[in-house]
Amino acid sequence: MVLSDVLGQNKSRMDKFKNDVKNHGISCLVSKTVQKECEDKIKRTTDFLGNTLKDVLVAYLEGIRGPTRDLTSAKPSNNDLRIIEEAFLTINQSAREFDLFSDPFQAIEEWIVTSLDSEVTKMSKVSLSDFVQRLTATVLKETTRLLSDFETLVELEGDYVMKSSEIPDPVALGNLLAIGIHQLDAAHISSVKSHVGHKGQNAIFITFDYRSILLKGAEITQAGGIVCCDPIYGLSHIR
Amino acid sequence: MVKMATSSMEYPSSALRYGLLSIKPIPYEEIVKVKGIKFKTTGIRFEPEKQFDKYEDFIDFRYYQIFERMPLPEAFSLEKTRQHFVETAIKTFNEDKELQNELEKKETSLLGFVSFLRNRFESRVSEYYEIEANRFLHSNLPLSFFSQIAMVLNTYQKYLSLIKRVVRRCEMLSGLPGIRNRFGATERQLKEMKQVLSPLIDKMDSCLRELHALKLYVILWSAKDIDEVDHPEFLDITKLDQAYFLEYFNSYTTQLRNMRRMIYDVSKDFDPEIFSREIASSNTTTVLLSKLLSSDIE
Repeated sequence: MVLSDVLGQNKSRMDKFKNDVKNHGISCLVSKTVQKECEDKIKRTTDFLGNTLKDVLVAYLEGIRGPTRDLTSAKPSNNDLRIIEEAFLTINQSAREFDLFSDPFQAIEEWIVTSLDSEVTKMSKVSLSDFVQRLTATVLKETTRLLSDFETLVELEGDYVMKSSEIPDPVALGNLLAIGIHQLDAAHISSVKSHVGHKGQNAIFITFDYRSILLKGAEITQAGGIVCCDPIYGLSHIR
Repeated sequence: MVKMATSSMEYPSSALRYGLLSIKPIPYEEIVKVKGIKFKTTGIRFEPEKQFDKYEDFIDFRYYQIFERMPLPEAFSLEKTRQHFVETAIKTFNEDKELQNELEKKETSLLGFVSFLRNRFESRVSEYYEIEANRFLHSNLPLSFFSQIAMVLNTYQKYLSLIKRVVRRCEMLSGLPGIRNRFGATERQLKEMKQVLSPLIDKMDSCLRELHALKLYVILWSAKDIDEVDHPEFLDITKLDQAYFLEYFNSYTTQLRNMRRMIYDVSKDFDPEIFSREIASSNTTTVLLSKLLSSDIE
């Protein structure tokens, strides 16, 4: 939920939730396990993007077959778009047979093609190596913004969120793992159980993860004793 | 070839320390002629408080601090390597006439001096991101490493915004209309300003020193010899001792985190907007990151 909020996703739901927090004096806590998972996710995503830029974009533009092209002197052309087409068709054939939408490569492909297309139509073009360098710099700039906003929200407690030092409750963790909840999700939810035990306060786990958590909500409550819900229903569960 | 531009990032803390902390107000009177009529004007200018260490001494000490704990590859002699970087830094500083002119001008306006540093940094920040991008493209280090390195750029923008705010408040409060003892007010405000700025400048100094040490460690162990350190061909993670690399990286990130915490705390009193949201959800790169973060990348 915190990452989603930083990225401006699910805005209307988050606005409703933040109003509830503000108007009803609700404490919104983020466990260390959630903070760590988000930081790891940002790192993994950044590296995935970096590897795609270097191992796919640069490698194919330089020439995967035949002699290597010097990108410092080559200017972007329509043919480079065809090279990108070939690259993304080749590297991720198997994923595309099934599901284009959830394939992370397709998001990068769209972003690269849009940027390259715009460069191709310019009168004064930069070299291909400068083009790739600028794309990479844009990613760096954007990831530092993301890291900065995430840090301000969670680590610096600069908005509606406070850090929690609770560690997962071992009994609840075991029960959740036993019903097939993923290790990380089980750790997050069982940290709420610890909070309830230590503080004696009613607490729930809120998330936008329908697939892994919310659709298994009844089972989770039975096994771990914690209610999980979408942020817009949070107030209704603790009122 | 990796770009190794020595940026003004590498000597700003000494410039800010010299320009804002080691100064005292001096009242002055002068006669000016307007249309042939003489007028006496009074004002306050700022002069060095004490004999300030020369930039050469500062930079020499900085590299001494870095190299005294850094293991060097066999092809490098400690003395020659240190000398190389000290000489390069001094040469870059001496060639920066723009900064030296502004350091002279700060006698009359501290805010003008800080604004100059901030505007110059803002005008070059895209280039600094490109330098890090270039380093990534000529390395086998992960992009997340460079995004951590680039966090200092994001932090430095906030730092300069905050410093400008602090200095502006000082100048504004000492120049309020109706103050009888303007010199006394300036002295008082300057003292308060230094109390706020001194720990910030010290902490940024430590942060930049750790960053510089980390970068130098990676470069020196990737380069074949001293001739290559200014333009290394490739930054090679396999040539680094992982224990040292991690130590340098952790040391830098700890300093950075402390620095950001301090900027955040001080900015509450001066300008909380410094930490307002930076991500714009409509930006195409943000959309890309949103999609990737929502997918299952293992």
